[in-house]
Amino acid sequence: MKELIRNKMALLALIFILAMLILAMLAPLLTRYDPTSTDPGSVLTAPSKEHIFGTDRLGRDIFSRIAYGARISLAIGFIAVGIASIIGLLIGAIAGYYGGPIDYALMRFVDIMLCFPTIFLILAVISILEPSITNIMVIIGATGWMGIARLVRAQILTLKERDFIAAAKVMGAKDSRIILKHLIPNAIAPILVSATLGIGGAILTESALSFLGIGVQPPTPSWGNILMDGRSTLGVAWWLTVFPGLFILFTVLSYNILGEALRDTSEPRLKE
Amino acid sequence: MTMVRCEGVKKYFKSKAGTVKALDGVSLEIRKGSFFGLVGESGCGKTTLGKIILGIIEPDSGQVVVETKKVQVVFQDPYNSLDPKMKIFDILAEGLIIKGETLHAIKNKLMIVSSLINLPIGALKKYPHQFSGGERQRIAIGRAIITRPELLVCDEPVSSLDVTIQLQILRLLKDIHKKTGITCLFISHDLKVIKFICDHVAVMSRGKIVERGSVHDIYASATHPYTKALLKAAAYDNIKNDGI
Amino acid sequence: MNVLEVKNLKVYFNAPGQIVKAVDDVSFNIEKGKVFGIVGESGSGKTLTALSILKLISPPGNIAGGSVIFNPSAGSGSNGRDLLKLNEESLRGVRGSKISIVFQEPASSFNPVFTIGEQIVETIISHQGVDGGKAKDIALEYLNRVHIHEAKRIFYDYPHQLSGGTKQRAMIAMALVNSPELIILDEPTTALDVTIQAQILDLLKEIIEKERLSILFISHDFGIVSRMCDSIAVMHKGRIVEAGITKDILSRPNEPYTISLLESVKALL
Repeated sequence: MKELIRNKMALLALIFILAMLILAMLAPLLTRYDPTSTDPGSVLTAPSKEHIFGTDRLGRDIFSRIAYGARISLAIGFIAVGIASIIGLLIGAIAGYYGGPIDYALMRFVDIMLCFPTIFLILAVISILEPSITNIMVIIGATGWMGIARLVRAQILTLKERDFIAAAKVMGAKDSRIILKHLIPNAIAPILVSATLGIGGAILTESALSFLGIGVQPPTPSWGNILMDGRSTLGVAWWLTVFPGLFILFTVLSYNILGEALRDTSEPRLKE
Repeated sequence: MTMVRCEGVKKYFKSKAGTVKALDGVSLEIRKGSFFGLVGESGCGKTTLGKIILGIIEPDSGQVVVETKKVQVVFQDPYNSLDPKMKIFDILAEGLIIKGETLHAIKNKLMIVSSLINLPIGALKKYPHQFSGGERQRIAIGRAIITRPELLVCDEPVSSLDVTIQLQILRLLKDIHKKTGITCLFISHDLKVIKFICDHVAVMSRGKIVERGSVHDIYASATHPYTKALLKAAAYDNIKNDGI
Repeated sequence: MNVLEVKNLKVYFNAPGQIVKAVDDVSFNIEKGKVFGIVGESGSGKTLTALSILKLISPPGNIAGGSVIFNPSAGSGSNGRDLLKLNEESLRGVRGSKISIVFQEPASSFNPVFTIGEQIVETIISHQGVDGGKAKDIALEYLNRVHIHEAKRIFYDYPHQLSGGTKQRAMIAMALVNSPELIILDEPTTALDVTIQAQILDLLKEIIEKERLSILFISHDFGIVSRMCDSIAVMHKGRIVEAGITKDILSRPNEPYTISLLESVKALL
């Protein structure tokens, strides 16, 4: 029974995520207005037939800003997680495979990175560099790989004791071949779960940064900076806050649900 | 004429409980072309010795000389010895890919080996989990012999299998040995299996070799008390002979 | 007189989209004081058959049909009743006292956080209602009976401190303490070294002779089964393919599966 409910949720989450992807990819086709074009005549209008999500204080259509913002937010989410996964994969695999002093050094590095409150680290770096989209992607990725590294390392530690690895060694396979062809494909599954959950986190982080003004800079829309715009007019124009907020909420929720569902399916079933 | 020579091989494992003498001065000689059995109960060191001969572990002292670099292995657990994410084609071809053979040559050798190990048609595209234990073990053997090794180390290759399948696999190994003259080191705890397939045997207990000789001699006139105990215990698995 | 009558036992597993008939309409009787063997390869359903006698099947498996009548000729208590229809409380009265079971893996049958003595004493107290001191005496008596050297010391040891053979002896002692009428042995020697196997089998033979118990002996090893059992049933894919007196099955097997099984075993003699 529980499985059915969870699966329905996962299905809904998947549908929502796909809807967001379509929205992002087909934004020009789905929106009537350019996200950056201002219209002084329709400043802060409530949701209506012309502007289904209303307009902001520069007269820009909120719906199209959210649609184009989806591109930014989702792209940042995916690429940041992609960067984190690659870094985590490599570090975890090398630490797990070679063991000894290499493992020790790498894991202490992971520990050090984990000591930093990520948000402050990101804030510090962004304030030194310019808050470009690329920088944001890289910095979120570069501060989010530690969990994946530990997961991968744990997987590799058990995997490398298995006979098929010994057989490969006897066959003369080099370390690089063993790590890339044998260990990593078998260690990927928990990474998928971690990555899916991570996308939600990355989107949230980007939104927070943009909300604080050091993320995506206007006029480029991102869900976070639409929120930032809405701060000053919260009492008057609820749509500036509610809509981007809902999108962030449901997107992050969907990725989390999907991630949990993936974790449930990849968990070993009842032992015989 | 000698394929493997070990002199005074020692291997210790340190743990919280103390030092375990896995191998305590083992010397043996395996002649080229022989089917050499290494028998003993759990913990006697036979698997450790096998891994040292394979080069997977280093001995702490003593000498190990293997006259060839072309060594392959077949492990005990067919559910663990094949990469679950690889197709059978890739598993069988891996040894040849590492050697840098052409795709054409690989396909040819794969065909020969597939028929030798009796692989069902269409198996090459499948994954290990789609096969039974016996079939996987045959694939493991195929993987081992496709590179034409001169020495094959088998570590309890039939212990996890049902008795009818055991016989199949043993017959396959015997067949390969006859056709290619490959030298085999066969590690097992089961004397009956050793008797079926090996020509020489060394009996191990607690890290030492307690007796060695031809299988025929050991069975007919074992001298060491441990060997005798093993033989007696093995007879327990024999079917009681009334009426047969 | 039979101590157990199993009729049309069915154990099914629910997998997505299909039902696996792991035990498919199995019937056999165990005579009082005799050793009955079930022999079969992996996946034949022999272990599940044994477990279902004491209703030890857990989901996704379930006992889909059949009956297991204990002591059909007697009439009181759990005697003459279908064990499959008993409630948990009555079953608990049967498990460990009237019918006990020795598993294949001595390591996983003992609770690692209690000493051997504590566990044996616990089952004595819960089934015989005696006090701790008397229970300890009984436990020690049985530990000695299974020829455990230094039973007094082993009593206070934890499972991980014991060797495989000693653990299995302790398991057998625990199975005997409440004087059961039927003992189920599920591959009792498979996980042990060959020399220890021989010792345990000798011990079992001795106990069978002395205590005149009824035994259900499950194994994949034809040799062992033929040595220990008066009658045997050969199982294959959830069904009993052939059954009868051991001597007869060995000398005149009828079914093709039995014949091929025997041939493989004989080839490796």
